[in-house]
Amino acid sequence: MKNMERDAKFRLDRFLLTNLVPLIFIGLSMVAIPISQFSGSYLVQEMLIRLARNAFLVLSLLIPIIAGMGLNFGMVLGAMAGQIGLILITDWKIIGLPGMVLAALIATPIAMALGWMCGVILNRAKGREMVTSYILGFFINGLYQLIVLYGFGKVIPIRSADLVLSRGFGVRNAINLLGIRNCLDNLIPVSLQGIRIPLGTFLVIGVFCLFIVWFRRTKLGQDMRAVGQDMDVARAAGIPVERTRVVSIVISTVLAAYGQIIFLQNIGTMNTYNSHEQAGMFAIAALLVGGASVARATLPNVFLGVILFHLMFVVSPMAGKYLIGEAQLGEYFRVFVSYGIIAVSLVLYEWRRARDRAYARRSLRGGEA
Amino acid sequence: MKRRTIIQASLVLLLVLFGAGLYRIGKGFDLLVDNKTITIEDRTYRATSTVRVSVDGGEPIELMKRDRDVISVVGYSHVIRVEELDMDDEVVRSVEKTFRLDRNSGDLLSIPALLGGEEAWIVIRNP
Amino acid sequence: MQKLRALIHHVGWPRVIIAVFLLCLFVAAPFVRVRLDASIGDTLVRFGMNGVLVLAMVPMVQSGCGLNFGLPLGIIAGLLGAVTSLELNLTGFAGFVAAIAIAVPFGLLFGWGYGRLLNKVKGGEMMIATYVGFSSVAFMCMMWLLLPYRNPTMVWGYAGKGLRTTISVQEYWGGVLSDFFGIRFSDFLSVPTGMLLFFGLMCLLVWAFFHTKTGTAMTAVGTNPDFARASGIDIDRMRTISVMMSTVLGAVGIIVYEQSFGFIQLYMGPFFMAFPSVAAILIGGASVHKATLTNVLIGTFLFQGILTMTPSVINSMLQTDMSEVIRIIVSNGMILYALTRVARVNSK
Repeated sequence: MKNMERDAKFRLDRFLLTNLVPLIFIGLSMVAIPISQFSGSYLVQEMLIRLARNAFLVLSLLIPIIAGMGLNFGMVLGAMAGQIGLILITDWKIIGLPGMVLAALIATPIAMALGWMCGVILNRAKGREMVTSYILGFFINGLYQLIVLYGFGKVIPIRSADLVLSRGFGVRNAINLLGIRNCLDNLIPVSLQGIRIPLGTFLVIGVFCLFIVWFRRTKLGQDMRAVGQDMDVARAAGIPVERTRVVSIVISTVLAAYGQIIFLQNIGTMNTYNSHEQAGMFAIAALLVGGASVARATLPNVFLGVILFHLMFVVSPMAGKYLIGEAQLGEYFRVFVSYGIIAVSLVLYEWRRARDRAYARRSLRGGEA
Repeated sequence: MKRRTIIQASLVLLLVLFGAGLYRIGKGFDLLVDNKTITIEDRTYRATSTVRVSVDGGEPIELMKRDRDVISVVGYSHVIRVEELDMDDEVVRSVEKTFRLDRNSGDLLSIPALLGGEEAWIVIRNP
Repeated sequence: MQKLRALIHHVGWPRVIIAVFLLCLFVAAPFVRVRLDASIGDTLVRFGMNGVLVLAMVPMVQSGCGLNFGLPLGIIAGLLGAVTSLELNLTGFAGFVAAIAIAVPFGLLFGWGYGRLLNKVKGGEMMIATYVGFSSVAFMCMMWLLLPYRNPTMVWGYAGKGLRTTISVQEYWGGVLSDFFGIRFSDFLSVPTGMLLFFGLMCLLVWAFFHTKTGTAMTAVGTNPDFARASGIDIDRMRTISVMMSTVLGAVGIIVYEQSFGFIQLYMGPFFMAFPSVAAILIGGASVHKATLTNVLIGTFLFQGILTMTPSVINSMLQTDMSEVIRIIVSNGMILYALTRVARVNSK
């Protein structure tokens, strides 16, 4: 009874709070699109491309959220694994779809190992998973650089001269992925009124969505949800909490590796030492823009988020140029928005959590009196 | 437990085989198609005319005398079709040949050698 | 042997390994023709440059706000001070003091807001601090373009507006602290006495603060919030004060850094600056919940020592530049170690 009263009272501000971020973004876009003077069909094409490019990466974030581990900043680990696969197939000159699948196959064990490591470390840092996985990303980035900059060409043979730095070892800064460029996007060529639709990639993304829907219903998925809600209760119910958490991170890392491969197959060139860092940030920002929180994320959040975030991304430099005469300003604006949105979402989440805690404490005290 | 291990091991093996299969079907080669006079083990083949070359029924390329070009192919087994042209771009004769590539085979396809009936018409490029 | 093991356990393995590694570097230096005096000189300079920035970690850790990943906010306050001092064409000590004088109010203001924010998100401070830092840097990127600074040495020549990415302070107040009472032993070894003294002064101030009533109350909030609440301490106020202190120290720290470095780095410059400082204090033996001045001194010396020595020594040994990769692995490995260790103690 008391609970219902509270719910009714808070409904409007709750709605605003939970949807604050997407609402802000829709508002910003509505202002920025006319200023940017982009045509409708250009934007639609651009959004379709970016949806195909990014959706898989963003989807890979969902499973750790179910398990209550927050935003998996450790997804960059998966991205790195994917990139190692791509470097190898580029060196071996494996072309087209087989090349992509082979890259994914190579990336899988690496991503599994990294994900397992990440999961074990996060189990030692319960309650601060996000910051730990974030730093872990940096740490593994160091190891990645060590391997790619010094290992490749020395320990791991690289034959192709296009890939190796002039000093004889280490991979070049930019790698041309001409062999697999757009091979998934153009697998089934479809276009509608001059707008190309990367159907192949959308099919893969669709299968992935079905996988997530199915996964939530499995025993493992249910366990994860239980772990996410309350670890102690889950443990009492006989769920192996630590193991479940590790599995969720492993799945997320492997999927992030695939996501990164799909992402780079669309882009067509790989920044050996930067691509993965951006992957994490943009995926997380996009998910949050879609209205997800640290504790709850759904499939619609993913797609809405990718569209809104990348709309802003495309539009803001031009809007900045026309508005203030400085494209650089729009450039900085979108960087600010990406980071700001993560900050705002994290604050909202923690604030709500603190408020709920305070409420629980108060009602506990009230009960005693 | 033992059964589980066996299943897992065979699954891994299957994936490795799958990977090897992907490697085979996806392996790409950049072939240098060459219409120059070439000497292979004291046998000299002269480039005499313009040729039109297509591999696996792909987009044909035309090579004049002393010309070379790059064709990218995927996979190990290929069919090359060479048409010899006269001054008026009429086909004088056409030759079709199946060939296999592997790790150690060269990547320079010598058209004069092929037309001259040389066995080793795929040679390793001289740097 | 038992004693040694106890000592190692007390100091912690990572610290021992890093200290031994640094010692090895110093020992190896002469053999690969790296000048020892130059190395020591460089280490001292970098020690002084970064010291105050590392010191900026202490108040927040002590009050239980965790590691100050939001250091860029303080740095921005410092940058505003520095840039404004240049705009006023102040040189020498006057310029340096003016930069600090202008930066401190900004630091207090930012710190106050930042502290209030962190009070609302207890338990999740570190992640939020990181992103508050990042987004404030990105926000200032826009501001640097728009703010009406006009000094021709600072703005882009062709447009006449918008600050440059790096601004030289050499003509203004570059090196005023470092050269103050600077002692030159040789061409390679000179001690930046003034800067070290200033760092010492800052340490002394922080030390004195933690022995006042407010200071002890702050420590109490960090070590045992329930106890602190029971004894009538206003927790939120203490935390806000600590965040303000950290932010101001960050502002002062970056000005000290710039006067030695000779340049102001704007735009994305301050972006990752929190991480070396966080790593340094952790290497010095601090944890997420406890940091002392000794941690600051030892940590800054060890970390900066490694940063100075690895490029020169390792490069001469292996003929390749691995220093960047080593820096990434050491600093982030250290932060990771600290983050996981605390949780283990907590769960016991």
